[in-house]
Amino acid sequence: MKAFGRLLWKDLELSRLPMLINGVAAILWQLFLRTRLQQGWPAEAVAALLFLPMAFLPLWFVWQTYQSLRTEWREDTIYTLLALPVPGWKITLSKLTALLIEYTVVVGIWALGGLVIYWSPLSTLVAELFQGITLSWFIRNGFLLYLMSLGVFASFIIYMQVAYITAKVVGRFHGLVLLWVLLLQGWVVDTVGTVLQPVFAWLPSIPLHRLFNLDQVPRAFMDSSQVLWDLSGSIGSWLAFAGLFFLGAWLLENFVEVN
Amino acid sequence: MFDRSSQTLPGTGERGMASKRYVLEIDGLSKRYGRVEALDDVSLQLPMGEIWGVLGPNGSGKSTLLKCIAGLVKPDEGSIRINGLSPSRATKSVVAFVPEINTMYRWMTVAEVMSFAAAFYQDWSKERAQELMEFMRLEPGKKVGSLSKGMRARLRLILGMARDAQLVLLDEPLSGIDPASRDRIVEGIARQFDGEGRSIVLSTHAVDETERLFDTVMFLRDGHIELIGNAEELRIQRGKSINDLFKEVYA
Repeated sequence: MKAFGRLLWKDLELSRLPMLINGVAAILWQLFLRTRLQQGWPAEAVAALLFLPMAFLPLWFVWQTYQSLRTEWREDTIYTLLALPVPGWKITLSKLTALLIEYTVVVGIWALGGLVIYWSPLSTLVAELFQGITLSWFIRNGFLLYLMSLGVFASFIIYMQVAYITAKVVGRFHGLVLLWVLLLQGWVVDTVGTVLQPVFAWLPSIPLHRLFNLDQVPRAFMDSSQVLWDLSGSIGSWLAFAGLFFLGAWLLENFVEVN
Repeated sequence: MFDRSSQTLPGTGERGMASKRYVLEIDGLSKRYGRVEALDDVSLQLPMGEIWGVLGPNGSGKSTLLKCIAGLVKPDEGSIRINGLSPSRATKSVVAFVPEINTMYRWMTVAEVMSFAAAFYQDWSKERAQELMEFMRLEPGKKVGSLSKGMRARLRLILGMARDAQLVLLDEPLSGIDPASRDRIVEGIARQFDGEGRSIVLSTHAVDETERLFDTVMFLRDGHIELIGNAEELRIQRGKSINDLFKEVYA
């Protein structure tokens, strides 16, 4: 645990600057849009633009994962990492955890900043459009969405980790191998999910409408009152992700060489 | 040129053979990078309690050999045994590898580097690290990135020598280092080596400054062993210092 803590501390240190830059950029973007709102831009356009940085986040974190590993090679610190008597999964897990913490901080700043900067128009909007829905409903569901997005981001990070490590093991045509492995992983996850779907067919579907209290949403905004999540199709893919994660860690520990 | 077969292989001669325990055994080790033969059929047995000098010019395979032992490079052929085990996570806990280049995070302070290393190695001696830090005149609050090349080399040596590792691998510890730091480093190695429960493999081409450390020397050329033998016996047999022998071998 002490070893993992040190690895995580090291990886978080590398995430500090991106966290700061992204956090400040998110706040500046929100402030800019707030001034546009006051100058008469349509509220719908401002709301859509507010979410624009979130659309770039998956791409950003794939890039960050690449950078996190690339830096170890570029700075020769990979010597230190590979000489440590720790399993490869601790090294990759610490990077994964650091990036998810970075994501949490950025999303947290964006959400809190949004709440503070748009408190007054938000309160009005909620009162006028979503009668009967409390602000706490938004916050609660926002948090649930965040938890779900953690899984999605973790999968992007694992994809890139495995692709990068495999490219290092191969040692030649780095970019091509990386791209090819990224695509291959997508196919593997999809195929394993499909193949194992019947095995997990007995699992009950998750009633998302209850989880998110969608019955509070006015009929005008919702076509259906029931939103179900079929778990059987997801479990296989999750297992494939877990397998890919450990594959990457195993390759790192046993096959990656220093220059 | 010298005939390797005419030399007494250290650890295989009569001297102290009965009581010798080998911390490192290498058999038929080969490693290629493309068409370049970095190591070619290297075999050796390193007894516990000795300092070995791996000597040779640039590109002779010294660093590759040490990286293979440290488990950072995978051999193409042959076997490496450290206390009977192939290089793995288990051997990394008894092997201290000190590379030629800076491999520590530049944003860390010297003190942070120490506590980082201490978290991973059970054989880390805090007292020895402190003593070495004072001896090497390193300031704990200084960032690695702000240290001079010589100071970084001193720091790397501390990371290797502050552990009770059974096998310490020092890859070119004097390469590109100022004379003051070179003396400190050699003295630091000599001070910390008590000959009990520890062996050192030191690769270098700065033979003049290090030859007093060696029990055994091994000359590498193009990845194969050119000459190997007990340092003192070689001096007597050839009537010259190891440094002069080095010049002769690689003339």
